[in-house]
Amino acid sequence: MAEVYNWQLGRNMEYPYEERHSKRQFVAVFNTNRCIACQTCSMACKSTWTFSEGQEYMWWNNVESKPYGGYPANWDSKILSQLAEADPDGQKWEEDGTFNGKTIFEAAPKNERVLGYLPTNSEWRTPNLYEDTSTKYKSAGKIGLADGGAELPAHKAWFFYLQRICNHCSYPACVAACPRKAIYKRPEDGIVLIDQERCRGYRKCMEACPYKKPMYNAQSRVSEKCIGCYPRVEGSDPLTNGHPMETRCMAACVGQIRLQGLVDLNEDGSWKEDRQNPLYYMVKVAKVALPLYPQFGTEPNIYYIPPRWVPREYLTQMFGPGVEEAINSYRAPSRELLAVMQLFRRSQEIVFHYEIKEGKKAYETMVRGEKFTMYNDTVIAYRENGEEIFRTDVEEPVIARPAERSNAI
Amino acid sequence: MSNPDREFDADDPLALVPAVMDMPMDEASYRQMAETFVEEYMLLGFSDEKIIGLFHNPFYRATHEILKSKGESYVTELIKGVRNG
Amino acid sequence: MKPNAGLLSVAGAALVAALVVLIVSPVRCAQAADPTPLERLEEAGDLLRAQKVKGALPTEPDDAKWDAASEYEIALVSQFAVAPSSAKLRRSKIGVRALYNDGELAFLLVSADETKNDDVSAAGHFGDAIAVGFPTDYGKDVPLPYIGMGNAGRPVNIWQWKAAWQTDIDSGFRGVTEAYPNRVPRAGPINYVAGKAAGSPLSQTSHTSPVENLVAEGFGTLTSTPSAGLEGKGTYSDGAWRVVMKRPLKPKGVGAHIRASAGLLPITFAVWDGASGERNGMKGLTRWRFMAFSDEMASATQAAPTSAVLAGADPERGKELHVTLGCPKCHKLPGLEAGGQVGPDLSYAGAIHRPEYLLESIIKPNAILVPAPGYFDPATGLSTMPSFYNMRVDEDDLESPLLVTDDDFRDMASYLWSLR
Repeated sequence: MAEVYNWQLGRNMEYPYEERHSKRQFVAVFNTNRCIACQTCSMACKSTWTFSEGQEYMWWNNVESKPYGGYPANWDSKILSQLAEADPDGQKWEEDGTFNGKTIFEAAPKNERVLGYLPTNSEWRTPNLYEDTSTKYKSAGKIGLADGGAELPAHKAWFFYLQRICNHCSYPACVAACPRKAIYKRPEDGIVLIDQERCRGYRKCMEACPYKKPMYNAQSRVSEKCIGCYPRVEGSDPLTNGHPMETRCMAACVGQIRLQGLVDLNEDGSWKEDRQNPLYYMVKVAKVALPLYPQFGTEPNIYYIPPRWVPREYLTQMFGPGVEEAINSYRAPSRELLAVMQLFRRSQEIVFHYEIKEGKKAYETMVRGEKFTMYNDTVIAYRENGEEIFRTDVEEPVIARPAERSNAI
Repeated sequence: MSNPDREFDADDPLALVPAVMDMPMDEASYRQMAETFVEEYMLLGFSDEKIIGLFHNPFYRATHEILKSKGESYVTELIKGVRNG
Repeated sequence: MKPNAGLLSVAGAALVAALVVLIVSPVRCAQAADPTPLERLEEAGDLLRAQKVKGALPTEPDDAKWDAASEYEIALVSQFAVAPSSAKLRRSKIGVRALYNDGELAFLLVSADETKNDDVSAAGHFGDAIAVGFPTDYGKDVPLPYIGMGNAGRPVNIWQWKAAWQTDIDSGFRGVTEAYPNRVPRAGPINYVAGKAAGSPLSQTSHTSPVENLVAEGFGTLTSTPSAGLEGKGTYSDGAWRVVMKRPLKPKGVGAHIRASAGLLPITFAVWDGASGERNGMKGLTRWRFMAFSDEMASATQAAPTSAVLAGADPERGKELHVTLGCPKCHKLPGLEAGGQVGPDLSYAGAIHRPEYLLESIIKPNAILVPAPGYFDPATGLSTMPSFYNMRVDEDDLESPLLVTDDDFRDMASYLWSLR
């Protein structure tokens, strides 16, 4: 095992390969606070990439209802308990943000390169079990439908939606586990791909990936995974005249919760300072978005704005020690963060740069005993070459549905 | 499809009808969730009166559920608390 | 002239007798004192004989022609040296018979297996498989490749019979349509199977043979290459797979050229049990054996490795030396405390490695570098294990005695060889 530096853990860790980094990294921010679980992302992906024979059960993009839902079922609690078993009472973060527990590489048994498990066939069957719909009809009629309409349950406890794609990790577990180097990370954008010709369907990647995103195709008898819509990221989709484009799941997001881009990396894998890149700003400056289960050790590259109504202990387990800071940053957003959040889903093109033009004060209010002022600033998004993609204002009109139409759909 | 007459079986992988989890919730987590709702509306510039209105409106399911289970005084105090810190 | 002729013939007979004695007696003498190299192989159970037959070789497992061949039972042990390997050690046996004629070589392999696993149409299903491996290049004193997958510069040719491919051939390709007959049909007209489009040999829906021809030159280098004439047939009954594999001695395309006249063919076997989730390096494996060809026994005698590297070595002393030198700190060795996790597990070293390799790996750890954690340090490009060769008891005093002598090394290797 080689020693590599994982900045999300604040320390070196073991990894089967020497430390190497791509020039750029595929990165996205998902705002869990805004997701409505409409699954448009899931369908956009499916209708583009996984509509063929052998891919029926594949959801390279899925949205699951936490804390109980999971695709495959219980994927996260399973790997968390495996880690807890391998390192009893040791899976802890230090005060300074260093993780001193064991990663899936360090906790691997002697006969494996990565700690993991192969989900059972039935665990893949229910992409969002425990979704928030009716348990059963109160009174079933002749054909099994309710006489008086279905009664929806009222939620008494917190839950939230977790949107998941491949994390295109900096230290991918799938790459580490593949016994024949059939999986590679592209030097130009860090997208992780399975070589379809080289793969022999061993499913070691499926077993090793803690996020369970490589999937076996029973028709081709080799494994497949989220390809980060690499032709779009490369800019080869004719729609944008050669300009890099966000993935299908990002572009289709109805709730406008996703923003994807590319960040430049230094040779040591750290992010090149790029203050006006919206992803750099959100992750490194505003620190509003956090990696998913960073303690696994793969350095995942999808960053989440944590759902701020959820107990902190649960969130810390899921997103690491930065939860409080991220929530504080989000709950009382700075003028800049508010503007950057407007960049989400105004275009399919990747925003490399933004600029803010200050606008007039829209309103002033009191929240938590402090004055909050809303400014109608304008944020301008640029391509890599400096051309403007779009500009948009922060202030949006609030439209209240009149009382007599309050239940109109 | 599962039979609507049948009780939900959490271990049945073929059950396509999902479940509401009857999860106990501690008071602090509940309060945190409720405060988040209120805070969201305050950031939009809503007045206290307008926010109370959302608790009374049955089509705002989350806020309305809080009013139903905790009562009016809990909600008034909640809004006051979030407004003044 | 008759008496003369008679005399001559008597003299001739005597001469023949003398020749026989001349040929036989040295062998007999040597046998009493020291076995021949070939006998040594046979004693260790490392020699298999392929029987030459007239006419076509059998293609079915139940052909009566197989009765002509001797059956050998070879022990398999889970590959445990390099990750990924099986979590649980599994020991099994494979029955091997071999027949050949002037143009072809055929095997009948019998592997007990409680479950028939020929369905790979779900992520959790793995298929049974059986393989035979040979070095691409071999001959007297040509070094053997690393067991199983070979190593850089010493490639191997592997024939892998797959239960799933056999079923594809016998009853048609089993894809998702066959596995899930009641599924909702796909909506659109486009059906893009990426593996197939990329030309993966695993994704092909029709096979001419259930046996895949593979070459490898180390871990992770396995490459599928079609080989003309590599045929096979496997049947499952009474809790066992019975598999025939047959190929021309000199194939068209890629594959080891098998030379019966070279006398001895190094050979190894592997078995994957699908029910145990075995695939890739997770398999049952055996050390290099040697196959002699029945019509070429003289050249087999010639070709047998002459050096008896471990003759007279003392495994008990070797075990003590392992303790003295602290080997169990890094290696798992049966019955020795510490249970090291750093280096390879040596519990069954003799089951998968030959004595020559075991001795070489202690004396020259860098002779064959296994590119895997525990063997190889990527920072130095060298073996993780130090060489004890020429190390002295006092490293600063070149006059001090050697830490480990050649005899010590041989004792140590003989201990490892005893671990089966």
